[in-house]
Amino acid sequence: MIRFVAKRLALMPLLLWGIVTIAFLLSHAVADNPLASIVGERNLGNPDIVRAATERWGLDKSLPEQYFLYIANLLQGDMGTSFRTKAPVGSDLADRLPATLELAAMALVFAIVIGTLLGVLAARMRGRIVDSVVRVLALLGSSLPVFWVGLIFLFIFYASLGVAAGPGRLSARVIPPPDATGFYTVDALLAGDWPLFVDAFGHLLMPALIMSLALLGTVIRIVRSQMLEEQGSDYARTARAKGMTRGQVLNRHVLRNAITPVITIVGVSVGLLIMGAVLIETIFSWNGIGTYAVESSRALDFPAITGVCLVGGCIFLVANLVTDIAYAVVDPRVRLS
Amino acid sequence: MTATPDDDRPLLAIAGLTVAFTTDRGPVEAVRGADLAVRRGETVAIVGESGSGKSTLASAINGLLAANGHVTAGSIDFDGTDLLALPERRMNAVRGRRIGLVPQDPMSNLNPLLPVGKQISEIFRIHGVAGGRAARDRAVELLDAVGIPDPRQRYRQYPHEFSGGMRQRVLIAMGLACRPQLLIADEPTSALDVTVQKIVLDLLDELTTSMGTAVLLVTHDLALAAERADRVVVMHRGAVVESGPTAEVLNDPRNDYTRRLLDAAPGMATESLVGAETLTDAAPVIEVTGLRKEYAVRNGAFGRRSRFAAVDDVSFSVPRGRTVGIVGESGSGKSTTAKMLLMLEPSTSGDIVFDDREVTGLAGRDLFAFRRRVQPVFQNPYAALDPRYTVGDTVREPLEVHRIGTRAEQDARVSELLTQVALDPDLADRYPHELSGGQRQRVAIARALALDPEVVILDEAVSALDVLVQAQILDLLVELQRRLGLSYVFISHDLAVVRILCHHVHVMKAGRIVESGSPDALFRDPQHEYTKELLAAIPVGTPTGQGAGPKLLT
Repeated sequence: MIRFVAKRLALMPLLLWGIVTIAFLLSHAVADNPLASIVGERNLGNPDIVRAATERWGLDKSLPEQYFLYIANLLQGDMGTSFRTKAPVGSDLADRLPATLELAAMALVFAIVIGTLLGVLAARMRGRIVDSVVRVLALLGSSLPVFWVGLIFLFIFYASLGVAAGPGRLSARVIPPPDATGFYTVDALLAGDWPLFVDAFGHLLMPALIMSLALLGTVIRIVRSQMLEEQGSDYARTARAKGMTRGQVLNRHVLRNAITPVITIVGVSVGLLIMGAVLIETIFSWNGIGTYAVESSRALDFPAITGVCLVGGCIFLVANLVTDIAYAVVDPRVRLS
Repeated sequence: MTATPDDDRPLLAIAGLTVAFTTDRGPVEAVRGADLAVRRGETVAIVGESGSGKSTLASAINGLLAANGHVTAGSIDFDGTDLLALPERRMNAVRGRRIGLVPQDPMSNLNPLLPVGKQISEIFRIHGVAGGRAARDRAVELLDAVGIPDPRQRYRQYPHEFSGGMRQRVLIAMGLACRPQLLIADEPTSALDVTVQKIVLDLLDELTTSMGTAVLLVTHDLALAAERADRVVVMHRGAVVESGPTAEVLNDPRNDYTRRLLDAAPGMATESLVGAETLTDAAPVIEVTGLRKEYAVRNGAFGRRSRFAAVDDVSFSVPRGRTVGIVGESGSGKSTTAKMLLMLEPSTSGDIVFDDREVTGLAGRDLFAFRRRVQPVFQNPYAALDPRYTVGDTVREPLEVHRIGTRAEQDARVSELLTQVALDPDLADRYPHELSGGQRQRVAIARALALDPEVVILDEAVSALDVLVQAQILDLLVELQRRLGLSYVFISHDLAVVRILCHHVHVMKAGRIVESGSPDALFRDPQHEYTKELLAAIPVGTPTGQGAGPKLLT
């Protein structure tokens, strides 16, 4: 196990290098010039300013030169400076990342907990009305476009009914908690500020739920079909022959076998979840990596875009590693090698 | 294993039982008006082919029919209780405690995610017999009783860490955990090698005898039933066609179906289908020398790689027009040998000479030409045919691949081939799922014959078939050999079948040929310890504690 983790961790720099290279090349393949966002539209006419900026940001160098410079800096932990914010990309990302992670973590919890519960419920009520309702919900969750559901939910639950919190991570005029982890909910608890926690948590619920919808639908369907399949398996029947009730067999034998595939699905979906952050964060004015990615792309902010790709890649690789380990922990037949 | 005469009321009495399954095509009766009685402490065998309803009948007893199955008529009386009228809650108290079950497949009947010990001790907890440490200790005792070494260690291990035979022992421990009055053993050993089967059945006998447990043994194997049961019940198409004391039923079958079943089952005394030709009577078409196949395997947690020889220095020859048998248990390397003969797997070293030409390492056009002359038939007739190909497509495909004949000529050849394997040429338009297992295997044989091969490699080609169908396919193979001069390599775990079909037999164990000879000599006077062990393990159809030998031996 340790050997396996070490091997995978050793491989990660290589994979990240690949990701960085592709992201670098792709963003430079865009024919447009980022100067406009660096110096501003008005200064584009001023050759002195343009020349100075071009030199300052190294845009006069050849592409290979720029690339090797970037890699060399990256190895020292410097992800470059954003054209747009003029701040180090590293610190920009550190500011934005916790917001996205907090949202994604909540979405994962929703998908796994609610998905498993509803999947089990549907399987146990197979063929009845509850089953049909859950299956329709799962289908809708997987097929409805996120931005549309997001807007509709905001309109109904926030604007019309006023039962849900609005966009943003906190209500207006609420001051964020002192920065410890960057997760507002956690920081609020650390500061012992209960009302602040409630406000932050409330704002998290709706975007997290909508972010989780696609994965939620998938989890429900997998848990339901796996439960039904495992219920019909030989070992479940043998367990019944021991004198166990249907419920005992489900809880003790079937459930664990049924939810192992969920680990795989959730693992590979973390990447998709982070991608979905772009839409969710835009709709809910969530100041995370998603909005940062959108703003950076618009400004052709190469360092920032490459930085986002790098962070995304890291999250994806770590998620995959955690998935493999979790699978080995749950299923004794899986040997990591 | 003898019934106690002082108590004439049977432990289990089934009368007029009918079980129907609701299907898309309406209700289907799997069991029709079956009567059955099991007395205390005796062993009763239900014998029948697949689809005879024997397993359904067994499932009805402990109320574990599939969701679409229902008892529509009849009664099941168990020790004075009407099981069909028992509410679910009270039925749970009967299952596992008073009626145990040993299921068929040791691979699928244990929960892969729970340690085996817990799967035994939970029985004590459910029935409130023992809990905590006591339940654990009793489970360890049971593991010890079913002959699992280091039971304390093994208690914590998972099913995948056990061999098939060991898992079946665990299942026996589970079935007998609460010393039930009745044990339903549903094909308890059909997934096991013959030597393991004998050990497991002996163990089952010993334990049930000491506990006074009655056994309802469900099996397709007549000889096994004859050897193990006090009484036999023969089922055919859902109905009990004959029942009575084992010796009576087997020696003097009243029912026509029972008679056919007995005649079809090959025993160690059944006359050979191929006569007594010797090995020297024809020139070899295949000569194998020093054949070896190594695989890389990982050992232990550190994943150190080592080489494992699946086939080790195997040499034999196949005379033209003869059948050479290779027998062995799982893992003996017999199937790997088959794959190398078919050039489906490269050999590590050694020579295969086909028709005076070295064929190992053939590639391209030479390999293509070789394939025309050596064809396979595999074990599973369900998996060996493409479900989206019609029978005609399947049989025609080799002709298309080798570009033989025009479309019309191919059609004619397909009809001819189907006729040759005794199938109606009209079946060409059918799909595999519309055929029976025996018909499918005929299609697989027709496909193998399409290219007029000289050698056919039959890898467990009749093992998945019911005994009556198996007999027909064996006859077909012999007839085709006579007519077409085919040479067969017949690979099987079933010594009785090998005995009657082969001219020459090799016994394989752990990758090596340990003994060779004509079937007559080999089985009459085995020299190698392993061959003796194999022969001793075969159920010969002698009922225990009975006088005269049954018809199977004559």
